[in-house]
Amino acid sequence: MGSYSPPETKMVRGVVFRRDPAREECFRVVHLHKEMENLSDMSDMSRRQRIHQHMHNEMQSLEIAAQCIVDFPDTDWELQMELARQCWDETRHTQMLYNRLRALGGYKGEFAVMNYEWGITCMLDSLAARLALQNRTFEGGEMDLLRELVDTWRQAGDDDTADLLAGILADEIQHVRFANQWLKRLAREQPRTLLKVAQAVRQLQQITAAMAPQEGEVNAAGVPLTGYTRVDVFANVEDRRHAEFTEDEITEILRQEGFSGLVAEAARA
Amino acid sequence: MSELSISKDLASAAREDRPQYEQPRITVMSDEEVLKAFQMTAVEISAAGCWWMTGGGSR
Repeated sequence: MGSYSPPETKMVRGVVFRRDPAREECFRVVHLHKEMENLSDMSDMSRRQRIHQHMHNEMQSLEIAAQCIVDFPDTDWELQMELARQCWDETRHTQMLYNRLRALGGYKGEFAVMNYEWGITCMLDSLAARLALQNRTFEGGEMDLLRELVDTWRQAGDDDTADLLAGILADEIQHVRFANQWLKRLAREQPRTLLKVAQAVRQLQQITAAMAPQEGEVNAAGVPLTGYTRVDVFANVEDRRHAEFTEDEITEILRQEGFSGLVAEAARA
Repeated sequence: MSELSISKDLASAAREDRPQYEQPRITVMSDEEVLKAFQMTAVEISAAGCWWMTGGGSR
């Protein structure tokens, strides 16, 4: 699989992304986070917006996994099957979130959507790099986030959504786990895989910096972006262990999150 | 002080402002060390303002 160029790509803020996947006409696709309508409270509209956005992200995850099968047809059959199973999971997640959205009075296309993860991940020219970003990084981070979201929704009195997210979290663990297993296997068989992983993560760090909102920037709902992006999400250690991150990898994530003291204490114990 | 000596002083000051030269170094890492080092936290990923939000209230 080679690199991509127009018309398969689009450029936003100097960053080249994979062109957006096809969408039904009801969806309004935007390209910058400031064009989104994310709300920061738990009002009825915010609840619908959160579920709508999560639904669309599950759609993207489905499309990313499916595109991997298309772009890398020579992949081991077992890994193709893992990706196919992931497609099935993400499809169910999308459908369940769509059902929940409708139950709350929302509808498909009610809010703007953005194909951020798709645009970054599907530019990568190796399956190892895509697994490193989509499964190990984005979905790894989603595991951390979902654990907190379950509590957020339960505290907001919505047990149905909380239970739904807990179910999705269980599936995401497996998506991260198979990526961890395969990346380690691929690295043993072909050490160059590690270079692809390192390049992919470095690329995401550069894109994150380029796409970070400017101080004072507000989104389409009037929410200050530099305020709400500072989320308090911490490593979901238990589920990261289930997903077969090593203790050293988890320790490193905790260190990056500023828990050096805790890590040192654990090491002494 | 002549103009020539002023420009020499400026050039000298500019040199002092430069960072110290660092010898290039090579770090040999095992596969486990590479996978450990190249990770991103949820907060780092969300710095671009993607969909991560935990709940009520702007932070």
